[in-house]
Amino acid sequence: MTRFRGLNYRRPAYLLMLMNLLGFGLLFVKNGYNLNMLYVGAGLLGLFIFIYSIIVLCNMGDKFIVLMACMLITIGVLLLCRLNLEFGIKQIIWVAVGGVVFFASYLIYYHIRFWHKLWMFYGILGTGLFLATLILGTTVNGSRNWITFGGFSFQPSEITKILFIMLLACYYSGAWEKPLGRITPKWMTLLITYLFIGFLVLQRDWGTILVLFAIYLFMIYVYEKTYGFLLMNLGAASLVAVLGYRFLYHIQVRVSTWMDPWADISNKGYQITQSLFAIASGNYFGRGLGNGSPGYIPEVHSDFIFAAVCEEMGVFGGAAIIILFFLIAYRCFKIAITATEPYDKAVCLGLTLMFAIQTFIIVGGVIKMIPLTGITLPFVSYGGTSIVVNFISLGIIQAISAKEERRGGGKGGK
Amino acid sequence: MTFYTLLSSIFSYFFTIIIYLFIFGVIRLIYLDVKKMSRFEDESVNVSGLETAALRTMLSRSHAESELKKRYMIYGHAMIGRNKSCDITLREKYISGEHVRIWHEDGEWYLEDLGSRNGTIINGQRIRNTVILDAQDQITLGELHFVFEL
Amino acid sequence: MANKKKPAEQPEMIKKGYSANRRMIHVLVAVCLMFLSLVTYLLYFNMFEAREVAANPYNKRQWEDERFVKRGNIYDRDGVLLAETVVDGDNRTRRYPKGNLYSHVIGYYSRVYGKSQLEMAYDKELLGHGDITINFNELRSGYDLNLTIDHDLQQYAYSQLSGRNGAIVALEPATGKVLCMVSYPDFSPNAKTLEQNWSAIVEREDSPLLARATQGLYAPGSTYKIATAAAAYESGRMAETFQDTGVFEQDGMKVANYGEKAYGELGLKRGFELSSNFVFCTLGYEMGAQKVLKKAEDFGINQGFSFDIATSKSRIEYKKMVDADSALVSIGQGQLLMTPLHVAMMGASVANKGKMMQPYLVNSITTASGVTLATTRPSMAYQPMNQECALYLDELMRGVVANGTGTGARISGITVAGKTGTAENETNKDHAWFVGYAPAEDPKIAVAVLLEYDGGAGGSNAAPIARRVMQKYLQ
Repeated sequence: MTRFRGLNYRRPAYLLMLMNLLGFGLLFVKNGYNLNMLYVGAGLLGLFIFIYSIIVLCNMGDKFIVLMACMLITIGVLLLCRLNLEFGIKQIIWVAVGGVVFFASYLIYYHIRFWHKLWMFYGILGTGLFLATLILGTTVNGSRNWITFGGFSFQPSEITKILFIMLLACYYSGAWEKPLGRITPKWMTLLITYLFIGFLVLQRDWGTILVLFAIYLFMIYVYEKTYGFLLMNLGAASLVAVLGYRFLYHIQVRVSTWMDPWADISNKGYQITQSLFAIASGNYFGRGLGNGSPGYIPEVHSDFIFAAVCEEMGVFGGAAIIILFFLIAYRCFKIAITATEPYDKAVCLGLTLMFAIQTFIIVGGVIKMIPLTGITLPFVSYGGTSIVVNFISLGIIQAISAKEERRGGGKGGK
Repeated sequence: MTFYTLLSSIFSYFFTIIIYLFIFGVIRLIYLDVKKMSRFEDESVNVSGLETAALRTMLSRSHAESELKKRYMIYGHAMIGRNKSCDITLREKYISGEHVRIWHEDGEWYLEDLGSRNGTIINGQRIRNTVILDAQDQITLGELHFVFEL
Repeated sequence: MANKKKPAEQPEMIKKGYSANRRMIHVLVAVCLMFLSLVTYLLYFNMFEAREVAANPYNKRQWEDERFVKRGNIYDRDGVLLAETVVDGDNRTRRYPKGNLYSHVIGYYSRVYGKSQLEMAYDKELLGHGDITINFNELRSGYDLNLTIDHDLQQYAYSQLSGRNGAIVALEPATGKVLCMVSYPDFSPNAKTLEQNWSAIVEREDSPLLARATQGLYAPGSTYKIATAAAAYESGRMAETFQDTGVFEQDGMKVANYGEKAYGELGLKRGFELSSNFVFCTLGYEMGAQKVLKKAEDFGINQGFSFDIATSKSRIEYKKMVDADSALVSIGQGQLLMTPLHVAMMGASVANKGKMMQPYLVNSITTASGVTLATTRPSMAYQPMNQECALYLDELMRGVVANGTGTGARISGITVAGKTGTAENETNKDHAWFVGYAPAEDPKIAVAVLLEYDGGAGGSNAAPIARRVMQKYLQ
């Protein structure tokens, strides 16, 4: 490809490395020349180099998505290390696990070719996870969405998101057309969607409800050629929303704190106002890593990490995160559009929407553009389940893009 | 103002610059990548200024089918085989590393079998040496069937 | 191509006008807009809302710098300590040795209720922002403020108010330096007391938190005749005589003189000295709304001026001002409201040959070690009249004190010029006003006194206070 001079995949990778070096070097100084910081940084950098080289060397399809995800992880880990070194180290371990899971899901998805036949499996597994959460779950911050066993806890709703997408893809790729009893697959998907949402209402996990429902609506828009079904669902959603607002105290509180968080700063509006204080004190370039006080924000390591980014790396840093997510979404959309197998197309679309919507909901919530619903910011927030599930999604998208490139006779390669 | 605060405030500008350079670099790569792809995929544009022809894939029951493109473009000259270095790479077990060569010369399209193990069949007839191709000729390579199009 | 698609689905997919890919591009556009809106909102927030949000007292970041900084002291013009920070281990206490005296000038400083007045306006300077000297974990000192206030005068003025609600402002006419600025009622700015009594203070009917001198808006009453006389001078009506019947009647509106006295035939000068409403209503009515409003704006009314601490903007609020309204405004009533500080500036501008100086409180900013970082330079805010006009007004104002309504301000051996005012308001107790300066030949001090809902006349109640303040300063 000599015709494309300067098509150098290494330059952004070098910048990523530089970011890591400077970032961890700075934290090294901050923590009183604590060598652990350098080990942590070196570990993360090694991990990135390892993952990225395998992708490039084995020609595993798209080379940008993982690179951008690495940048997001870098920003996230830098802040986590700065907030609490322990969180940072745990996060890096999760990233390492995520890397393994990434390649595993890549290989599994690439080689198994009957995903589109497994709709019943997805539905039953999803329902099972929900039931398990309801029975075994523990309540954290008012949402009953954690399962703990043996000192190890995870959020099943993160996994059900992927199952849900794969289930939708079964129908919308046209692979699932046999009715179950007298219910056609279209109504079956509708039923399962509302069943899942019902479970999530019981768990009070409003963020995930929004994500699942938005994915469902967008899928309907893309695949149903008439608008009737979409409008019907929208109607149902608004009805439920209005009823929820009338009768559920939780939702009323969320809306009222969104409209005027200043009315009750020390109580209901505490989280969001602390987040706004952080963003407001960051200005354009931020106060500098370690100079701010993101510690005042509750849940700063998970849901509110975006506010911490804005405080310490500035509004420009925050905007950069949004841009990175947009670029990831753009690449994934491109893969979805060029994918030839309908099932791959639908899965890729669903996963892309998952990233995009999740980012929009939490970032919009943290900056008070929309009512706040707790949900993690993919790749940046602290959280094992979130990191692993996001890596699984990336692995699947990577596999789809690799299939597509190889089908093209190696033409799309390097 | 402590030393660290000052250092960190200075670094905050570096970070912003690095992140945006990174974003810019990625955007540029994506742009070049899309441009490159479009040169290969857009069939209506003949960037090379050469004669073009195409091999249209016919449906067959081969296990490799899912990885086949609908149509392979040939710009003046194409080497076809299993090797990655070929202009058209076909990953199919009955195709040799370098299987056939198709090229344009003096207003005619030629096909030459490069001594493949399983041979090349054109319109049902196995060929051993160079032949001139006509439009709508059926070409069989291993278990794959194509139609030659001008 | 791949044959995974079921035949039943196939025709549906190929139907005209529909393509999954096209719909996907729509979704991509939607996602793009979503992200764009996020970035836009973030930038919008940072540009237009962030400043206010960050200054919210609940934002604990504001108090962070305090851990490393000893907040600067505040001194009067002679170096009398007015505010200091006492460091005791990790505790910082802001101490105000003069108690309530400066509660409306320096303000308060509370972790719960935030900051006010100079503590707020000069927060950055007091914390020594912009100091780039690097030191290692040492307690750094913020910058000190040196005010233009004369503490003795401030204390004296405060004692002269003696518990009456109102305000006294004294300025140096030539520079705009604030020599004293007292507002009453006041409160204890000590953070601890303030936090304990906050709700009581806020709920008190006489609103002690209102800095009357700078933020209280009052009808200026007859003191505003200074501006009207300036307008009349410019219209060349000095030689005219008026037939004062005691009541001005026009367009169904009646305005009586103070005490409903009829002065008979008199000129502008005598009308000013006696504070005849008839004369000035007639002038205002005849000059018309346009001219009266124009003159008010020359004096900075409806325009505002910058000051070290927050001020209310003096204003004339009419949707459409008619000539009858201008008659009322000309005697300082109607919809005209001014702050005591602005009234003092009006008086000072006559004293300063027609130049209204920018008032200021902070004379200089110095480092803890005594290096002066910045000194405020006097500057002119408005020029409401020319020098001849100012000299003419000076003559009128001298007359008021010499043989008019303001005799209460007379000081033996010093020529005092001034103007009294008794402003009607929504209650039946008038505000008593006096604005004046001395010595008239070379004015050193201009004073405005306001007694809120006093019920008495400016000449009898406000003028003696002004006299004593001027006398004290000129000793």
